[in-house]
Amino acid sequence: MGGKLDVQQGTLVLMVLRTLDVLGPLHGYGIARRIEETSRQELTLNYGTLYPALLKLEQEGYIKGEWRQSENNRRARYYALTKTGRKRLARETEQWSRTSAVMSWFLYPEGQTT
Amino acid sequence: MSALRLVAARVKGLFGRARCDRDLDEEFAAHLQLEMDENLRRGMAPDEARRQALAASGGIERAKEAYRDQRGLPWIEAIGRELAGAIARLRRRPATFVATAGSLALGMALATAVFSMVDALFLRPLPYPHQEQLVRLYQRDPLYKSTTAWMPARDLLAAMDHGGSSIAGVAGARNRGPAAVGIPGSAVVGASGTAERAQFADVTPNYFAVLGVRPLLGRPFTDADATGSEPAVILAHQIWMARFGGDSAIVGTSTLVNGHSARIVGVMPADFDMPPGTGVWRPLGHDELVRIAALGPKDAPQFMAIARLKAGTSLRRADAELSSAYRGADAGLAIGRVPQSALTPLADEVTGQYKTLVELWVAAAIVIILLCAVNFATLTVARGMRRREELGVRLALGATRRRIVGMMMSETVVTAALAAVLAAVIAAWMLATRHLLFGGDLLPVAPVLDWRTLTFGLVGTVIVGMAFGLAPAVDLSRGDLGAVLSGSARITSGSRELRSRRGLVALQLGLSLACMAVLGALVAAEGDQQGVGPGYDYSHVVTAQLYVPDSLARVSGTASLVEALRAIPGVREAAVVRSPDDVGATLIYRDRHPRDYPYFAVNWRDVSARYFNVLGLTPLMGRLPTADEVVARAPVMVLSKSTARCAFYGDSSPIGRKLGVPVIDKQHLTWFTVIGVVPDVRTRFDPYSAPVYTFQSLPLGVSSTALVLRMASDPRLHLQAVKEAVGQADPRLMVSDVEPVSTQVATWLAPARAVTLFFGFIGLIALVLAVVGVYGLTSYAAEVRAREFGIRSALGASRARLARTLIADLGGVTIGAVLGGLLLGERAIFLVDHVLPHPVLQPPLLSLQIIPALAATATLVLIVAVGTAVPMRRLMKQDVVRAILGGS
Repeated sequence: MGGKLDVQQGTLVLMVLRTLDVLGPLHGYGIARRIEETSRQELTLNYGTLYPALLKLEQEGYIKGEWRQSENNRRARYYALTKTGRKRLARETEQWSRTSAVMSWFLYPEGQTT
Repeated sequence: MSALRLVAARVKGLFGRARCDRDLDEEFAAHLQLEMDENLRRGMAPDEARRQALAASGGIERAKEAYRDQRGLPWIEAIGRELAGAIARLRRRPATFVATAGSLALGMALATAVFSMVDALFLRPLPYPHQEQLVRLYQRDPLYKSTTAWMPARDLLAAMDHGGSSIAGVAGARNRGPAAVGIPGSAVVGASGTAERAQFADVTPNYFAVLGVRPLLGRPFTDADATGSEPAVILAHQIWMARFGGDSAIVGTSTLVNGHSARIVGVMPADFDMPPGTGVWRPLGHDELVRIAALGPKDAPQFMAIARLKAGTSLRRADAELSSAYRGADAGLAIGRVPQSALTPLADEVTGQYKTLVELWVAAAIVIILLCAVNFATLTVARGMRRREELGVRLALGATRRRIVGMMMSETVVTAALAAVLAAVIAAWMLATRHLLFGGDLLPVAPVLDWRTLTFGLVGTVIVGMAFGLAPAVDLSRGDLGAVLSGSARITSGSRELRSRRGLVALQLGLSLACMAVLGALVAAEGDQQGVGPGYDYSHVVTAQLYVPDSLARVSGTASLVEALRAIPGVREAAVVRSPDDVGATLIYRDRHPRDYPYFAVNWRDVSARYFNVLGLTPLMGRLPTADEVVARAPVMVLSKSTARCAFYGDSSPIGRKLGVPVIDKQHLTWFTVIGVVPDVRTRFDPYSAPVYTFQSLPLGVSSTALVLRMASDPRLHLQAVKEAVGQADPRLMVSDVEPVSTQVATWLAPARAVTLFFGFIGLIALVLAVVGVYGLTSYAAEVRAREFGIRSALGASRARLARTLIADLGGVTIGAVLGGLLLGERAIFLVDHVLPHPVLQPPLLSLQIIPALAATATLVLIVAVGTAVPMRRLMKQDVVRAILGGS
C-alpha cells in the first residue's frame, strides 16, 4: 500500500482534542505536526483540513484560542481544551474504543490473525 | 447546546469579516513560518524550505475559502453579495429602477388596501362569542320560491317554543321606527332641542343572551321587564354618550322615550349594533307576542329572528326542525304555502350587503395587479435588452445560464423589495384617505394596516415581482451568444414579443379610457338634479325631527307652531310634514280602476300650507291649495310627478280624479280630489318613490313629524335659534336632529360618490400605469430596433422620419386602445347601471358621454406622447456607428 492516508470523517476531532489534552495549549502548526508524528507520518494535515476543524471546535466551545508568543518568538494562535472539550474527549474516546472493538470483531474473528 | 452555540458563532461570523481575515492571514503566516523554520533546521536551503512549507499547506487560498465557509453562513453571504451586486447594477439606471418598482408598488398598494378592507369585513369575527353558531332565520315560500327575512309572530313563537335538539335559543326583534329619548327623570318641560332621535327596536327578553352579549352597564332584559308597569329600556352606546354624556349613574333611573317614562336597565357596548342602527331596545314579552300572533295578517307586524345553534349542529338539521315547527304553527294555511326554514349564518347577513362593493374592489385590484405585473415584466425585459451585450460577454466568459438567471432575479428581488416598501407606504395613504377613494366610511368597520395586511402586501409584492420577473430573466439567458455579440440579434429577434407587448399596453390604455368613460357618465348623471338629490334647491333648507304629544297634534297646533317658526329672524318659510307611513308605504285607493287593482302603495305626507313654498316648488300641472282650503281642511290632494304617472295608468290628466286614503284606520277611506302635480321630492330614506300630499288632514298626532324651514342665509348659523324657538312656541315639544338638508344630502349621496370616486381613482392608477407601460414599450422597441434605426440613419433617414416611424408603431396601439376602451367603457357603464346596485342612481340614467369620452381620448394621446418622449429621445441621440456595430 503506497501513499498517505486520508483523515477519516470524525476522527480529526478526536485527534485534535487528544493532542491538546496531552500537550496542553498548542498552535495549529504544533497540532498538525503532533498528529502527523503520532500517526507515524501516515496522515498529513493541510491547512484546509486543520483550520476549519479547529474553528468548528472553537465555535462549539470545545477549545478556546488565544494569541501568544511562540517558542521561536513569533506571534501565533494557541488552542486549549475547555471543560466541555474535556467531556467531549472522554465521550468520543469511549465511543471510538467501542467502535474499534466492534470493527475488530468483524475484521478479525476469533482464531484468525492478521 | 453546542449546536446552538455553533449557530450563534456562525451568525456572529457574518460580522467583522475584515478583522477575522486579518487574523487568519496572520495565523497562516505563523504556521508557514514555523514550518519553514523547522525545514531550515533540517538543513534545507531557504527557498526549498519555503517551497516545501507551501506544498504542505495544500493551497492557502483554498484553505482560506474552506475556513470562511465554516466561519459564517456562506449562503447568506452569497445572497448578500448577489444583492449588493444587483443594487450596484440597478443604480446605474435609477429612473428605470424606480419606474419598475413604482409600477409594481401602485398595484400592490391597491391590493393591500383592498385586502385590509376584505380582512376587516369578512375575515374578522363579529363581536359575538362563537359567532359560527349564530344564524338568521329566513323563510322560503315553497310556491313562489322566494325567501324573506321577516316572519309573522306565530312562526317566531313556534321557533322559540319548538324544543328541538339542534337550537340553543331563538330570539326575535322588530324595528319600531324613530324614538325620541329625553332627559332622565324629568318631564318634557325644558327638553326642547335636547332629545336624541334613535331607532327603536322591540326584542324578546332573551335577545342579548342568544347573541351572547352582555350590556356594558346594567343588565340584560328579564321576562319580568316585559310585564312591569314602567317599561324597561336598554340604550345603545352612542345614545348614552350623546344624550347622557356617558354618565354611568343613569342605570336604574327613568327617561322619556317617545314621551313615556321608561326605566334604563342597561347600556350596550359601542361595537354592538343589532338590529343595525338601533338606539333603544325595549323588551317584548311572550304574552304580547301571543297577542300579536292573534292579529290578522294585515295588521300583524313581522319580526326578524336570530338563533344560536348548539355546537356541531348543521344548518340542514336545524332547518328541518324549524320547518317542522312552522308546519305545526301554520296548520291553517293552504298546502304548499307553509314556509320552510332557510337559515343563513349571521356573519353573511351582516357583511352580505357589502359583497358587491367588495367584489368590485377585488376585481379592480386584480386587473390593476395584472397591469402592474405586465409593466414590471416589460420594464425588466427592456432593462435586460439594454444589457444584452454585457450578458453575452458574461456567457462567453463561462457564466452559466443559471448564473445569468440568478443575476437577473437578484435584481428583480431588489426591485420587488423596494416596491414592497413603497406599496406599504401607498397602502397606508390609501387607507388614511379611504373615505375619498373607496367610500370606506360606508363600511361598518375601519380597515387597518396591521401585521396581517402588511405581511400580505410585502410578501405578495415580492412573489408577484419574482413571478413576473422570472420569464424575462429566463428569456434573456437564452440569447444566442454569437448573434448577441455580433449585434445581429437586434434585428431578427423581438418582433413577436413586440406585438404581444403592444397588445398589453393597448389593454392598459383601453382600461384607463374605460374607467374615465364610466367616471364621465357617473359625474354627468350626478350633475343632473332630476336623477339624483332631493329635486329642489336645498341650499338654505333645514329639517328637524319633532316629537309632538297627542294633544298638540291637531291642525290648530301645527298652524301655530308654523307661525312661531316663521317669526324667527332669518327664517323665510316654515312647514310641518307628518309621515303616517313612517315604516313602509300606505295603500292609496283609486276612484276608477281595472279589475283587481284598486290600490297602489306609496308614501303619504301630510303637510302644512306653505310646504311647497319652503321647497321653492311650483306645480307642474293644476294648482296648490288655497289658504282657505287648508284652514277648512278641504279634501284636496297634490301628487308628485312620478306618482301622477303611475296612479292613473297614463290617463291624460290626474286633475279632478279622486284617491282614497285611510286617514282614520285601514278600513275607512277618505276621498281626496287631486288638484295639482308637483316635481318629485326625494329624501335619503325614499330616493326612488315620490309621495302624495294631503294638507293638514290628519286629525290625530303621529310621532314621526318633521319641520322644514328655509333660511335667509347659511342655515348652520340658525340651528340653535330653531331649537330655542320650538321650545318657546310650546315647551312640551321635543325637537331633535336639526340639520341642514345639504348635510343629509352629503351623507345620502356618499355611496354614489364612493362609486364615482372609486372609478376615478382606478382610472387615475390605470393612467399612471399606462404612462409607465408606454414608456416600457417604447424603451423595449427602441432597444429591439436600435440597429435598424442606426442603419436607416446612416442611409440618410432624418431624425424626424425615424421619430415618425416609431410614432406610427404606437399609432396602431393608440387607435386600438381608443376603440377598445370606448367599447369597454360602454359595457362597464351598462354593468354599473344594471348589475352594481347603485345606491342612488336608477337605471338607465348612465350613458356614454361624448365630451368626457373625447377628453379621455385626448388624455390618452397625451399619455402616449409623455410615455414615448424619453426613450425616443434616447434613440434619436444614439451613436449611429455603435448602434450598427451592436455596441451599447
